[in-house]
Amino acid sequence: MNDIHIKYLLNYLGLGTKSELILFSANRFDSKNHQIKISGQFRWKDDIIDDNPQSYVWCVSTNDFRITGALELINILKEKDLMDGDRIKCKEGELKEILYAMGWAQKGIEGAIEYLLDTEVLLIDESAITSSYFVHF
Amino acid sequence: MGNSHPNMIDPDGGFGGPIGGGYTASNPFLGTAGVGGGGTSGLQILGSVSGVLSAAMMGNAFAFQNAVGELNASVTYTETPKSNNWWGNFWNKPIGIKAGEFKTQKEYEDFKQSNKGDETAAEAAEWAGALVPFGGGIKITFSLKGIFKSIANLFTWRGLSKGSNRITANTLKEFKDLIWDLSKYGSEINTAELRQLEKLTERFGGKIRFDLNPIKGRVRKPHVQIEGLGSQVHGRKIWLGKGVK
Repeated sequence: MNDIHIKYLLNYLGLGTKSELILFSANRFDSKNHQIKISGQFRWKDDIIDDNPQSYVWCVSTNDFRITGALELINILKEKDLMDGDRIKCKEGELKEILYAMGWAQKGIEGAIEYLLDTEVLLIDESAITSSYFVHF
Repeated sequence: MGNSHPNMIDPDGGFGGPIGGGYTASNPFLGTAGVGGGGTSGLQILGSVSGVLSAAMMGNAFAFQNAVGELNASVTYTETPKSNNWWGNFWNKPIGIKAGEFKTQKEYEDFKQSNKGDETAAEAAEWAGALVPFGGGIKITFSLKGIFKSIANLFTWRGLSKGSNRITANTLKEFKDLIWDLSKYGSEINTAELRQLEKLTERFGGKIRFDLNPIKGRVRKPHVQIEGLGSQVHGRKIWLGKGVK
């Protein structure tokens, strides 16, 4: 998948779960002012209560290049099992030390963490924004 | 449990004081009338015991009112809270009333006057107005008839009467719908609702994960998530009202 925003979104949604996506759709709408809106639906393998997919919208800027580091950060959080639901289990300082030890630059660390914490995927039910998904320390 | 309010909804249905907590009902006219017992089945009015004003009793407040409403006897409820800010958050609204807040009748009347039109403050004033420091605890004196009238009013006002208790679900689908409702923007649950939700979640095979102190993120408000019932359910944050422990 070449679209880094959709790739980021896919990985981001998987941060809080160990389940697999069995449905994912993403429609990208670009605006003139470097803003894009990605909307679609997803459903996880462990969503057994019913088979209704969750609709979502994510609005994001295309000229924010911190996304590359944030995407890598997501993968590290998953690999090192540092997520507990929507919460990053370790302290921010500890995470920075981990990344620093991996050779990350200080600016890249700050940017990736900020981008991750700023990400908010809006959850849509019956055509209305009812809730959102985001992670936190 | 010192922060509980006697009107809070109890997980077993209805509403009640602190579970296993410290409400003692004594009736100088009937000797001491302890009311309560475990579970939610029926109300016992005992002749001469000092009992706990339990969830069961409060859950049957209306039956109790019907049973003894005509007595109009005075009843003293005593609680020993852990802190003196028992009334600091009334129905999740920080109105700043504390135990012993009103030293005089005038202070009480002034507060009510300054919060005219504010139902929350007015109701809280009705309760807090009757509070007086009592040793290590607080003594609240109401007429028997009055307290239940007040409780009934609160129920109606909050839309939290036993019949309209929102933390209910009979099927997994209903449970999911409930979680969706509770996770909506602007929604939050109080302590008693959290207890109910815990029980309900366990009944459906899930578990509540607490995030009481989010440190950094888009929103740093205490919330819970439901584990074990699918990632969509898990992804929903249920916000806790102010003061929820």
